[in-house]
Amino acid sequence: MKPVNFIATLPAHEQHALQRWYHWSLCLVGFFLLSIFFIEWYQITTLSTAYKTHTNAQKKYAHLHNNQSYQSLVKEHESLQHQFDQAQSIGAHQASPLPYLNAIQCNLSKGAVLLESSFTHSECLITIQINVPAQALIFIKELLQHNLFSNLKLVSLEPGNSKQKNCFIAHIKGALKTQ
Amino acid sequence: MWPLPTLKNEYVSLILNADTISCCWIKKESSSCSVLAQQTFDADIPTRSMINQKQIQRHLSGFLAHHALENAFISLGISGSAIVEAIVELPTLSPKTTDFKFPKLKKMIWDFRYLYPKDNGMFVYYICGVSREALFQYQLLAINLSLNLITITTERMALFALYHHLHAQTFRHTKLAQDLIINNNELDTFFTPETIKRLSFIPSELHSALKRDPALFAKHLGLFITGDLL
Repeated sequence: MKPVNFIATLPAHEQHALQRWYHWSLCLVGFFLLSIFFIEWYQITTLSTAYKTHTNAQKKYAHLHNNQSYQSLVKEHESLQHQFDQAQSIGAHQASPLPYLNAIQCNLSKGAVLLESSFTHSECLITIQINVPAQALIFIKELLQHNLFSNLKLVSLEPGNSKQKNCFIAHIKGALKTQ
Repeated sequence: MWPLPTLKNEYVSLILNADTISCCWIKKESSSCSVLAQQTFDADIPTRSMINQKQIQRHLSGFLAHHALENAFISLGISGSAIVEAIVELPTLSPKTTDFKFPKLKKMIWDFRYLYPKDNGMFVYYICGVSREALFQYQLLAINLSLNLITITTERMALFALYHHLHAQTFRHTKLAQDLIINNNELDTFFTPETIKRLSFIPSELHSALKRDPALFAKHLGLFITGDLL
């Protein structure tokens, strides 16, 4: 004879069964997670080490990323690099005026002074101060011996101004030989 | 263990009469059961439809707290004006609910059980029902006290369950018929203190109470069996 029950509830034995199921499920899930943990231990430690290294590196270099001076330095570096590249490219195509200037300076006789020199791609204009006009001709002859200049001509010879009394200003024009 | 409360093999049967509230702590053993505590309180249930919730709550929560039985299974046995019960005869062995001509039952939660056959070809059934509002109040009481309520049944159904449990494999409806006819369809007087002792362990301090009212212990044991069987 099955007893009458006015309410529909979970009977005691089903509640016990539910609790057993819950406990076993909890144990099995725990066991499964532990197994996975032990199996994946090496990967977990590697991941942990990598994570720590990454975190430390982030902390160490955080100021570089956050500081505005870093950005400005980067911009300055980029502009300087750009200028350096430009200078290198120009230097590669143009001859240096230094040997010409050295030659001019070496051949200046005593009392002669180099006032101005300008170089273009193939020509040069040299202005010197001399005591006697013959010095200009000697200077041209000696420069032609250097094999750096050609067609050097005395363009003009002017007496010195009030400050440069007893001297002459000679303008020499010529072509440049490529090195 | 969270989130499920820890379950133990402890049952509290609660009998609500018009004039008494009786609580009994029964522990399930491997092959039997032990009555560990029993307490009866005076009750005042004034009307048919309303139960005195506060009074029941006070007594029951006091009993549960005193014996630390917060997670025990609770079986509730009710009687009196809140329920309708009757023993009826029908000419069929497999009746439908419409065969029971009780207008009162239409508004109730009710059920029936076959008891025994009669010589005149009729079959005797026990029917019992409880009003929806009373049932709602008992369920509300269980919610308020966070009770693990597993059974609400009638006292007489608890006695039938105990009778069935007592005879176990040797239970026969004809024997039940004899016993019910002898006891005028009431099993209150059927269970003696010796029968109760045979069914469960009763501590010595409850022996006097058992001698005074063996039917009460029988109802508690019946409720325990009802809760354990379901």
